[in-house]
Amino acid sequence: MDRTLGAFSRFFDVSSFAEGYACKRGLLQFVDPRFKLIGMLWLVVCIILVNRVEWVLAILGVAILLGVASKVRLSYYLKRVWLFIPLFTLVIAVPAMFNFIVPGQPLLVVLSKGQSLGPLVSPWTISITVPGVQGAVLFVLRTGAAISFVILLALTTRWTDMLASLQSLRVPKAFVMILGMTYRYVFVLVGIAQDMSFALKSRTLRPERSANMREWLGATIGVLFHRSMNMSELVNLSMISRGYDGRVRKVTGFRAEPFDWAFLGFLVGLGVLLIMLRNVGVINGI
Amino acid sequence: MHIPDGYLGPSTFIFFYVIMIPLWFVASRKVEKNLKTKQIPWLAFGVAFSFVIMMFNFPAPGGTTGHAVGAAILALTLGPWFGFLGVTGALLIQCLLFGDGGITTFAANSFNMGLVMSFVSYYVYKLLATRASLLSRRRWLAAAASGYIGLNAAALCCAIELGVQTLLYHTANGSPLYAPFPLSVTIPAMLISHMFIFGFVDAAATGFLVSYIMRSDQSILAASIVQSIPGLNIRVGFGGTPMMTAQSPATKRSIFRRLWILLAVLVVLVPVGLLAPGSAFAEWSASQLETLFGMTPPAGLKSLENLYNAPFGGYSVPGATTFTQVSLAYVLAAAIGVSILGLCLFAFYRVKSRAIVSDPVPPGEA
Repeated sequence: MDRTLGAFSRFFDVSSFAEGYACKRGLLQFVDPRFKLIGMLWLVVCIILVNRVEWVLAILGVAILLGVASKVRLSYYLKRVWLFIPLFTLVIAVPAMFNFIVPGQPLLVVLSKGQSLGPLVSPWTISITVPGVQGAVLFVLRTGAAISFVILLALTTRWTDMLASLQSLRVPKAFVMILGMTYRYVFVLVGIAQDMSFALKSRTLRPERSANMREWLGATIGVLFHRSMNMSELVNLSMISRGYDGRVRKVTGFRAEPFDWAFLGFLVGLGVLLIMLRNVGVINGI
Repeated sequence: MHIPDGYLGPSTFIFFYVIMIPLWFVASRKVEKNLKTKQIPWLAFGVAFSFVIMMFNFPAPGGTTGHAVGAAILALTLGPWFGFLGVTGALLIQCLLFGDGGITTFAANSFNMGLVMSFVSYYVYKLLATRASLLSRRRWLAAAASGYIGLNAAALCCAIELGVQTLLYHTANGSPLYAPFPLSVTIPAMLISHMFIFGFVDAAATGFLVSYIMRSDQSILAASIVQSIPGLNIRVGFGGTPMMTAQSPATKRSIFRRLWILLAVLVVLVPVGLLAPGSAFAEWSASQLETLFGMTPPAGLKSLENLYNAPFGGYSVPGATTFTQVSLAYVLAAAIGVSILGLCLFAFYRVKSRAIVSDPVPPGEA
């Protein structure tokens, strides 16, 4: 349960922190969110197509430069990008370097066939292979590069602006409105869950057994569900009483400046360059 | 189960976007068309609920924790399309705000956790809870089973998507370009962890929720939900609430027919998943070229074929070495698996329905 609480508080921290960066006056905050969203999504797709490690490294450099230009603290940004998902990817990628997953020319023989290990004789050859390492390095770096840009987009854009941009990408209005309300309700629901957890904690003397804990969590989910339904009923009534007639209107109006077009051109050009270079390698392999 | 960017190759993720964009569009169009009612706050709370549920870490045996997806809960209480839309929305927020789950892989994630999970859970629940009285124990047991099976179905889809990547993308020297593990590794890895740990977490969450609703507010179990969200009858599901009791024989039969259609589609999807994005024309084997076109294979191809076969020489079924043979083996396996599962479910249903006919439960008895 503590872990869950930890997740809650981390969530609050991360969200408030993110909005903080979105309010700073940096390069990416200056770009029209619609252009930023389209450009970044295009770039992520292009990054996934890249097959060469050196281009992935180059684009990682671009991400860091953009981050610095947008006044995002580098240590926070790198931690945010590299702490969880690429680390997880690395754990997945390491076994794939060995010959039983990716066979090929051995780079480092860990154990050769017939080698004795005390009383045992190894029946297999275990080695780290060249193609295995190439694949793993590319895999981890490329995932990290894609996430770098997504995190950069999330950090420098307010959620409301993001939604308005989604709408300009022809995402159905109803869906955009739902997402906007969801973002608000997540905080409400998390608050309720946190209150319930504090209530339980303040009434118990020692840690609960995990079986009881599971049942309590199940009931918490039930209460949350119930409250969600009641609240949506109330929200609906309040929307109607404020003149909601089923039509969705947007408030935020964007105006594209030449700078936005130039920035979009830069991102699109970068993507095209990546695709053109995808099979051209300066350094062979890693 | 959130697949990050870089795990799926271009043709795979484009394939999923092509499938999913019309489905997203149809679902939101239907909602938008009937916008007079309370769908907007309903759906918003559904998405928020799914999002928060994914943050609940259940203590699981062995000191680990896992989270429920919430698709099953939403699908059982509000209908499978609601579950699909709710989870898709939660996934979009997660990928755009937290980088959890990729942008290129968003459609695939929405397919696994949204579409597959909510529909499979919904139909499993419907099948197992057929004719169960409103407050019977079978109802929440069925809910738990649906959460378990739904999550495992989603995990299986995820494993197939990841495992197929080694068949589709690798460099000439065999180094993988995207997810590096073959099907022989991904399927056991995903299924073992989900069958023994996370499946039970989702089962517990879904089962406990339904049992809580049974204890606290039975009106949710009755028709109230349907009346409060009219207009959400998008094809299957949304109309008749899954919580309703005693279906007429006609609905029962149509449920069965729909279930079989769903299964048939899934079986068909197995080879499609392997072949459709499979740039198969680049993967023809030398012997296949011979039989298909009656041409003598180029010598270079034969030597290349060894390179091509090498990465998965270790796991292929004895005798099944070419791409086509491997994929045929998977279709066969899927067909056999589905048949066995179907026979078991059918037998269970027959036994169950006979028991109900011979021993009718008075309505309202817990």
